[in-house]
Amino acid sequence: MSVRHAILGLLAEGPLHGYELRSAYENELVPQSRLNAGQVYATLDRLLRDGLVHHEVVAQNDRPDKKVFALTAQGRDELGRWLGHASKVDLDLRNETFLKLMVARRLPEGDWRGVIALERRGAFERLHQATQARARADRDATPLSITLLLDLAVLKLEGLLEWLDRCEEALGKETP
Amino acid sequence: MTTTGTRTTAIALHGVHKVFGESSTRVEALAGIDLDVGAGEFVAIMGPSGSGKSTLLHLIGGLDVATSGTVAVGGEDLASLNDDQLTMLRRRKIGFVFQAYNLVSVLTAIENVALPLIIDGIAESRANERAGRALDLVGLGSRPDHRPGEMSGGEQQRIAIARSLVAEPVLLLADEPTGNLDSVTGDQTMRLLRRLVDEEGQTVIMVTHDARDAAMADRIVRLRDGRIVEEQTLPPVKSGADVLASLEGLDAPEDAP
Amino acid sequence: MKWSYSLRELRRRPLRSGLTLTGITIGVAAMLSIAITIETTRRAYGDMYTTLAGRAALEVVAIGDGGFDAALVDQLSGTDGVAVAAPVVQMPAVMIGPKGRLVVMVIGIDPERDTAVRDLKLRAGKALAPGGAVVLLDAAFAAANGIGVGDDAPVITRTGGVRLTVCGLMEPGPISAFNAGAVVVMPLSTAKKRFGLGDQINSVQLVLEDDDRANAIRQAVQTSLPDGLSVRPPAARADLVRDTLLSTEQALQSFSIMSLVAGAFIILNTFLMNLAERRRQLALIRALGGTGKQVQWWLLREALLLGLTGTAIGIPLGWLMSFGMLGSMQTLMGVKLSAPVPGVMPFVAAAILGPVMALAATWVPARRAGREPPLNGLTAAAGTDAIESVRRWPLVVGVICITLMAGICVILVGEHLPQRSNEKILPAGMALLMIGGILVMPYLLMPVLRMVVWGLGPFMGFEGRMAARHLDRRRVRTALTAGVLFVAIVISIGFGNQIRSNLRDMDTWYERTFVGD
Ligand SMILES: Nc1ncnc2c1ncn2[C@@H]1O[C@H](COP(=O)(O)OP(=O)(O)O)[C@@H](O)[C@H]1O
Ligand SMILES: [Mg+2]
Repeated sequence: MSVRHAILGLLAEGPLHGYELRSAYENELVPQSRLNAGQVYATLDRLLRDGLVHHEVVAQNDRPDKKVFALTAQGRDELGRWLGHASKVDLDLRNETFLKLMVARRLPEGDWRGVIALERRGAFERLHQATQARARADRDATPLSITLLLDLAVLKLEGLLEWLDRCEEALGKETP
Repeated sequence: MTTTGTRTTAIALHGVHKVFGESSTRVEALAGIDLDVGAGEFVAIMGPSGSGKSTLLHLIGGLDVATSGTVAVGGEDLASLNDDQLTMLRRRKIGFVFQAYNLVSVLTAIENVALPLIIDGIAESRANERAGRALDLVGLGSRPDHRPGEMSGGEQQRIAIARSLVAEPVLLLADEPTGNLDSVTGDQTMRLLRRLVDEEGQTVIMVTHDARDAAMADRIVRLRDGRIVEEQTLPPVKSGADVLASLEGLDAPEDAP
Repeated sequence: MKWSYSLRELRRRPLRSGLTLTGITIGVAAMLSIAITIETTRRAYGDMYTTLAGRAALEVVAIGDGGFDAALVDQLSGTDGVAVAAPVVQMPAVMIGPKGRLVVMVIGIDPERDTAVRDLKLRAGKALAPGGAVVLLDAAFAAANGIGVGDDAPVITRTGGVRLTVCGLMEPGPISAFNAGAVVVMPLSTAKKRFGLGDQINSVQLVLEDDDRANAIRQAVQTSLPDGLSVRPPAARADLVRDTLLSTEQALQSFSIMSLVAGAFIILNTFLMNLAERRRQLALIRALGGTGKQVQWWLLREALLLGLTGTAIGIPLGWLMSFGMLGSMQTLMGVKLSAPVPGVMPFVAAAILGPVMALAATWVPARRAGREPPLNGLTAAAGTDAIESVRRWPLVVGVICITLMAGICVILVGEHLPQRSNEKILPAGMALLMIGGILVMPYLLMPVLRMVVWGLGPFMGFEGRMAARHLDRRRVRTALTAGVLFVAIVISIGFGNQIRSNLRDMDTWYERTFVGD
């Protein structure tokens, strides 16, 4: 995920100043996320440097002047290029569960069954939350951005649980 | 009924064994099960194929009898009941939902739902009235006169759920209720069961091998070779937004400089 | 449970239900029409003899309707309470008329004594004179065959032929009503002499001084009679002529019973088919809290519905069929039969039999279905039924049935029983044999089927082997189907044979008399 391109995308809808950018990101684009102010301005600086955005200063009466950012033609091109290319799929293959299992199976006292049980419990707890949150989302007219993220969470957790079943089966065959 | 803490116990199993066949064909489908389910609880039974899930459900529902141990439903020990009494238990206290829906094809939706009441000798008008309410509960109140053949799998399963509820049973038993459904209608079915638990206080015991379905329950019981190998009580659910907040990975990643 | 649910189950398989219905309908219709035909025929014979007997309240006949010594007439005349004892001889004959051969009944009477028994009104010519070589004919019969007073009447019987003269023509009356007018009345002495009958007569008709005392007189006469003779009201004599009727009646009754049994087997067969398909549904009813009794009753109700409907169609159909059957009887027996007599009993019997047959055929399997634990049907994959186990009781019952039938055969052949009980026993025996045969059939059928499969194996191909396996899996039904086919074949062959042999009897008799000419 790229904050850089998210900012380009938000600016494509119209000029925004820094604070507006940040709240649009957190509330509309990626719900329930945190984007710190420093990260926003650092990214904007890089975009200015690369000529993808430009800014103008708007004078305010009782406050310091504020900078309003807008997309350049070059910036619009870069946004189009990003949207037009496949993202690198985030598989998260070498995760911590995997590592624990690999370690546990090598140790003579390694309790890989315990590892699986624990991981499974964790996954089920979160799946329990996610499935029901997803069910409520349909009832409560939750924004689409949230329901889609919940779907992704449910499906990933399901995948993880199925993978744990396979691990259990395969490791069980190795050490009966 | 027995009481544990503040909650009444819907079912209680102690040291339950179930053996099929003899000598060379002997199979111990259940090898010592202890399980209590409180009223209004939603329990999912998981486990690999052949681990004894269905057998357990059949014993609880009075469709079969345990080889040893006690199975009590609503405080009543099933071992003390004869065949007719078991039939009455199924009629008044248990609702079954099967993987294959098992609707009667020559009967309409409402007639299928009313069937347990008709079997119980309740007058047709009264039975239809109650069946209509059960159909409303599963969201099919507008289609009482359709035959099963004219309905989708998901709708048929909802009819089957309405039928299992119509006699207001103590216990609803479901054996892989989403097994024949696609994931969307499967989800709808699961949400319906969840809603019955949350809003009607229905006690539900469901067998499934689908993690997503099991995660809808309050408790997961895992069977293996006829034994309970794991039990997990799932914490109460937060709001949708809170859930998202608790799922990491949504914070903005650091871009490479 | 509602009756309309049962109706819907039946309508779900219109073809199968239709077939079952046809089975019941045919069974009921056959049973009813045959009962009516037999009753009508018997009554016709009864009426015939009553008319013939005129004022005689009793008659003496030989058991089996054979001849006996005329010396008895004098003894009977002297009996207290008997006013007149009139001897009669009768035999079938052929008369050669101007238009060809006519099948007639020769009746020899004693012209003097006979006037006390019946009035023979003449339309033309004069009455019989004792010992004369003359005959009386029915006026209508004579006219129809172009015979007049004074014509020659050559008459041939089994025992000889004579040339007689027509002396008179009778108005319709007691004798001419007999055998649809095809009668040749002659003096008894002439008949005895010319046909070489010696002193044999067929019956003695008794006119009583007081008919109210008929019972007492009958007892008195009976005790004085030698063995083999019997005194009875004239209508009862119809029972004795039944050797002519007997084989036909037996054929009809066997046919009637076999159609019922075949109907029952058809019901049973389709019922078993339904049960196999509906295991899951029935198990579901049990799981939802239906008792075994409820399931059994639900199933039986479907059979009962078919039984009632089949009966409702079968009764009018049977009534219609009885007209055709009586027509055939008339041709076959050479007697004039009235319209069918709608006695109450055959209808009551048919109305009860249809539903009872349907219930009887399905009772055992329905009860078994009700007793099956619900889990068996629920866990079985949809539509599959377990391989039917062949039980031992059908074999035992079947063998008992066949043994009983064999016993009956021995008794019949040994003639230990009076002939009249034959007709009651034989059809029942046939039914026993058939039920036994069908029950034993699975045990014979399966080895035969396997041998056929083994022999044809290389030529049958995949489909053939699958079909054989299927038949093997549903043994009871396969055996039933074979049984029904078997019954149908037995009925057609047996029934056809009976009628043919009856016709042949007549043919040989014709031939013999012809040769004798
Ligand atoms: N009626 C039966 N007769 C014999 N064995 C049975 C019967 N029912 C179940 N079993 C055996 O009991 C075991 C558990 O079966 P079941 O409860 O159906 O498992 P699950 O539902 O978890 O797949 C299996 O080994 C199965 O073969
Ligand atoms: Mg199962």
